[in-house]
Amino acid sequence: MNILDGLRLFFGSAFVLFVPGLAWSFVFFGKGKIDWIERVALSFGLSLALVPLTVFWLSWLFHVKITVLSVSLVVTGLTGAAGLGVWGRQRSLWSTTLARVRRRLRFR
Amino acid sequence: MMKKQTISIVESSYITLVLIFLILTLLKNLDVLSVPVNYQLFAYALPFFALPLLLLPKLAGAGQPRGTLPILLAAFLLAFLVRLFPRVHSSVPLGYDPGFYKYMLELYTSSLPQIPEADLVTWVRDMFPQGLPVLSDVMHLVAGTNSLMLINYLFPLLGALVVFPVFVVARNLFGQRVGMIASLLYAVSYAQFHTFAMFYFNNVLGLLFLLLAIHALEKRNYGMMAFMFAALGIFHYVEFLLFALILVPYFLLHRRVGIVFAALGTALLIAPFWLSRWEIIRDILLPAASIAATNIATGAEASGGTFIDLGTYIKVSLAYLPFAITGAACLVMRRNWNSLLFYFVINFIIAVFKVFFFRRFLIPLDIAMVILAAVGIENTLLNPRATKRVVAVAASILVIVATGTVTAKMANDARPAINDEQMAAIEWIRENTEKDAWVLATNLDGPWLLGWSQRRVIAPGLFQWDVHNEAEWLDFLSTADPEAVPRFLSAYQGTIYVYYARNSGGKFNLDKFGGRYFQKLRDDKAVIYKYLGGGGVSP
Repeated sequence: MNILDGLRLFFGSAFVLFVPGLAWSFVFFGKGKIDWIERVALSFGLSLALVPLTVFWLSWLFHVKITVLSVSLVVTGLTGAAGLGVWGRQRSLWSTTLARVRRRLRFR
Repeated sequence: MMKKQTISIVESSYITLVLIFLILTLLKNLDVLSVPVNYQLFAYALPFFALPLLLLPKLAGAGQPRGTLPILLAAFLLAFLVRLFPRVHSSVPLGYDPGFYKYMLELYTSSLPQIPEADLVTWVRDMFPQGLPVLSDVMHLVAGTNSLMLINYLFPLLGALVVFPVFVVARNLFGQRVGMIASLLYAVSYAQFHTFAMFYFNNVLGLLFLLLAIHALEKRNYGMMAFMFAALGIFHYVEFLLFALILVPYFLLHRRVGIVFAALGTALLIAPFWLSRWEIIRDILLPAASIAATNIATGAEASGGTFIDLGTYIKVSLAYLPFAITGAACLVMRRNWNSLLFYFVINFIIAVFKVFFFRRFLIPLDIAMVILAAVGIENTLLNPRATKRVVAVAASILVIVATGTVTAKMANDARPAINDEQMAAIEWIRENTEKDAWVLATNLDGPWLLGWSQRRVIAPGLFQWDVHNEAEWLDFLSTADPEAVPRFLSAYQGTIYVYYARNSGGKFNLDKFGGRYFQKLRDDKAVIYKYLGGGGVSP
């Protein structure tokens, strides 16, 4: 195994087995809700669950071929969807907080 | 006054008895001592002595543990190294199943960019849910892994990674120290190492998802629970069934509507996986009730699955068994009706009353035992009102060391079913025979040939190419008559080789291959013959 294969193995494994789960762990447990040990455990577990579920669903429903490009897009999409979820939640939290502050200011 | 004195005597006896029991267990496990009396009875008596200690209130904030991370990393490394250690002796993986897994993973990889669901033969569909091969495909495409990398490295790594969910579940339910003790006990558990040594890849993944599903349930995070429950449904049906059974009493007790929504979400997520294999899943799940009824009514041991039996399990887990019983008693006395207690009770009933697949259910039972043992240790030995700290820590270490000695011995003695020379003979077949050749083998050698020779394998009761019934095979394996061979092999067109690993336990009578129909190609630790056809040719 040359150095490029080694790098592909390391980063490819992390990309499939850790990154999507890490992103989704923030959807299920917001920042500061759990410590990093728990987040690491959840990241592996969620990645191992989400990746095959999504790939099989897409293959079954839309006959998506399983290629380097499609699975890379799936993993990126899963991570991105989680990012959107977290962003949306933070935005709604932020707008709720902002609305509350405005209401209070109006009453004053 | 009398009652108080009695309780005080029982309390003070407890730690003495625990130390005697643990030292005896350790010496027995080290083969230093042969105990004439059945000292295992101690394991069942000790929890009674622990009962008064369970009634003691815990000191608030007493002894918050430090060093969680080093202990957790030590547990992870220990579990990983124990699983890598057998590779010092041989490069061949442990267990009977690696050949099945290698064949299946390569079958999926070779079918890319499609999933070969419709083309799979029955035994592959029966044996392997879709989760692992699809994950393997993704890993192959993105990280460049092959089946051997998953078998040799990912499997032991996943086995070691289960330390973290064990810690997380135990800590969430019972506190940091219980989590630390449970993760250490998992790392040294014989049953968990045996799961690795039997090459139950999907089982290990099932344990990981089961623990995370329990964690999500207890955290009331039903979205995550749905994903973990679905993962169980696509990786391992045993733990899927177990978690489904846990949910029933848990829901009846807590009445949380989120559990129903999570179950519906799970059903939706696993629908494409299960619909395409509905007849197989139906054949696994539906007979379970009738098998259970027969086993319970008649005491039969049908459909137990392959693993150590309950008696062996009790022997190898003896050091933490009394603490697990104490831990369960502690939860019941404190009316702590959490999912882990339901998990333990349901799993215990299945394994002890031999309901169905009971031997394989010892694997998840051991996880519950490990966590409950940590609860027992925390509430008795490590209760600062009951025992001096030094004695408590020494006794806790003794539990781990006594358990670890059995596992260390097994890791040292574990050898693959075939040795390196026999594997080399299989690889010789791959390199030197026709691509469409057949290989005739026993059911012990068959899976290895299937995985490593890349040829079609004829073996008793295995694979899609076997056309003979049990009686025909038994006759053929035992006969010494060379004339029986052409009759038996007439069903197969093309070149046929015979492979036989010279191991103890083999039942192949090789005399029948000594006649004019065969040419011997290799004969060392494994023997290989070439079939020269029904007419026979002089070698």
